[in-house]
Amino acid sequence: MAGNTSSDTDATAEDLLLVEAVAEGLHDEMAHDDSVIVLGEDVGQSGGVFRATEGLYEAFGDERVIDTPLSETGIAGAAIGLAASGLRPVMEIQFMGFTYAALEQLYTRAARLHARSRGQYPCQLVLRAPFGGGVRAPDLHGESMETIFVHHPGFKVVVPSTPRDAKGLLIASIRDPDPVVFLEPKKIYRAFREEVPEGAYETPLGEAAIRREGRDVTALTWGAMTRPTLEAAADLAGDIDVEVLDLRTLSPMDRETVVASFEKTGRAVVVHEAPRTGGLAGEVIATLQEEALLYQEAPVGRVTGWDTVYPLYELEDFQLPNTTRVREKIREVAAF
Amino acid sequence: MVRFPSAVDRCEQLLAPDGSYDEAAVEALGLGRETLRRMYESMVGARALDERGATLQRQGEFHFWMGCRGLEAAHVGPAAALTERDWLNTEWRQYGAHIQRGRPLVDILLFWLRGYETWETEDVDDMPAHERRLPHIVAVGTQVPQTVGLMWGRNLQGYDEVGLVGVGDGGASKGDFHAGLNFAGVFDVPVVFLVLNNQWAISTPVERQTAAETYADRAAGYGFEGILVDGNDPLATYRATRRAVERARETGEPTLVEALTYRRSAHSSSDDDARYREETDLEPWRDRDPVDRFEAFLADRGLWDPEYGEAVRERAGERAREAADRALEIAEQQSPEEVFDEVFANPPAYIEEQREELLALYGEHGEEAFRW
Ligand SMILES: Cc1ncc(C[n+]2csc(CCOP(=O)(O)OP(=O)(O)O)c2C)c(N)n1
Ligand SMILES: [Mg+2]
Repeated sequence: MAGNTSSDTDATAEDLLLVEAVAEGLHDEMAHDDSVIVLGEDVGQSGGVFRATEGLYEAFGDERVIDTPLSETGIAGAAIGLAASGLRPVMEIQFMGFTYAALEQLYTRAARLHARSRGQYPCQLVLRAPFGGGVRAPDLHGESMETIFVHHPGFKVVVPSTPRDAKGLLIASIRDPDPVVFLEPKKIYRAFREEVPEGAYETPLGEAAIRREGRDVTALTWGAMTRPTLEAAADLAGDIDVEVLDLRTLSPMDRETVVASFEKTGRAVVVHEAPRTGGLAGEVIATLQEEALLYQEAPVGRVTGWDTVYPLYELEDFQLPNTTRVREKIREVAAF
Repeated sequence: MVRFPSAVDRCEQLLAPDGSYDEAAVEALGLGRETLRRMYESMVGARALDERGATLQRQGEFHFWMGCRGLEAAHVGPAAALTERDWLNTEWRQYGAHIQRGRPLVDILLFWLRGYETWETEDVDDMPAHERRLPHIVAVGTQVPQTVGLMWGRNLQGYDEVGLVGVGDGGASKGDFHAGLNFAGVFDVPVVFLVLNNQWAISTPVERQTAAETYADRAAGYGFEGILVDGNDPLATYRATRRAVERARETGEPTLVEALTYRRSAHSSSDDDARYREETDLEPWRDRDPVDRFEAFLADRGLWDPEYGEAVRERAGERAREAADRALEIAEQQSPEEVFDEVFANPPAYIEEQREELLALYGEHGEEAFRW
């Protein structure tokens, strides 16, 4: 089911940046549920390197907002144990590229604790990490590794693209009984403000958002790529009518909304930052083939990062999809 | 809170903070005028490079910078204890170590501007000292077992070379640290593990990394020696490392050297240290400034006077400026096709296809279309 795109005004809503909405989501859920704790590198007094945990240390103290030693293996392993003990840990991995050291813990335990204990032990935890490129940071600070978590059974994978969704999806992720990988597009942490309701609320997992309605081509994307995709759609308005879907939850994917849109347009373009080969675009395309082949009017286009070791600094502009690349691909698919 | 760890009293030291020193111990080092001055110039060179990098970052020319102020003795002393044939893998901010080994400043800076490094010498056996390193690594701590593998391999091939690997107080919390030290102990790999305990990992104080008083004590658990030294004393860091290097060369036995020091700059240009420490925390460490201390010592030995000091600083500043200008010029010349360079030694066809796709887009829509 597609979520609503219009943001109905809330009497107590305030304008927040995406990163502030993350902090507020953590704050409100910690206030609501004593068992929620936050742990990671520099999340305490300093408020996190992006300030995503700003104010939590002051509000909840160092027993619930925990600066850990520098060990992603330790953070993930401890979070699993904390979850098994009955708490609800939200771990921060400072940049997604540093998740690699945590993978053994995450794959071999977090993803299968529930299955291997036949439900005896919960693994209700959230891994938050800033992900994606575009901020001119050093190596391993621009990674988009969503595919590896989508591919591995046992995780839910969530990527917000607006402040309002960031807060609601984060709270829903913390409340979800399964391990959730919550990826925050750092390129748009501070890109724009949006009205965000006060207090804890959930934006349900597993629902894509239709960011723009259209009849000719479906553009599917998530995270920071939502903006260039919407810009490309706006550029083409009057010429090609583009429907833009923001998947928001990558696992489980909202197949219903994806397929319904494709049945309407018969043409699609998938946009993601991650490299092309083995990227999620392939999964979207397979879904369309399986469920809507007879509606298909053109090959599905992909606009993705290239299959290269992430190029840094000035060069990352050539790696990341941009409005022009998305627009041209939509044109090509529309003209087929 | 003034942070002054109890371990300070246990540190090996040759030069006291005021520059007074143990004459016999200094004589025993047998260091000549040239070596001492070279070390001093490397320390001043690192400081000048740091100042230049920080300034250019503030001016928006560099995207990012990491400072080394106050850490120069911990960086330069150990590097000075290596021979030309030895190897050095560092953590990010060890500029002085690279300068001591003769690495061109431009090359150090280009890492920050392009994210990759280049080598002049193709054949490993012909590489000069400053090229005997792996490219810099951003995943903290991973360099530790890699250096063990590198030196293990060199020694299996009959080379009598020692490796020095730097890792922070934070990095030493990674499992990689354990794995590296354990392998080196088990396989007798000639590596010196230099723990640069500057007491901070971004905003996280060292008490959050370990409940132990020192890192040096950990070595016992791996079956080799750990030496705790005053990291602001360039002769203490030099002497301990030299001892470790000599032992490694003779017996293959590794050593852990902990240099206890203090990170006086913010973690990086993205960090605001006022959020987690007081300005007064820095004071005792300013009093222990390694450059000042070394100057006082050199002056006493007749190797330093204000004119010489001024000349060294001026030359260092000039070199840093020239290197930064040159590095910026080189970095400007990057072009979109570089995105695909050297991903593979033997690139599959799709790399070329994607390069052509990118260049076609670039040709058609121009630079503007890519900048956002
Ligand atoms: C595996 C990994 N996790 C997190 C980071 C982010 N990070 C960069 S430097 C740093 C602190 C490193 O502290 P330390 O090892 O003491 O070295 P120092 O910065 O003090 O030189 C952190 C957490 C990283 N680069 N790699
Ligand atoms: Mg440190």
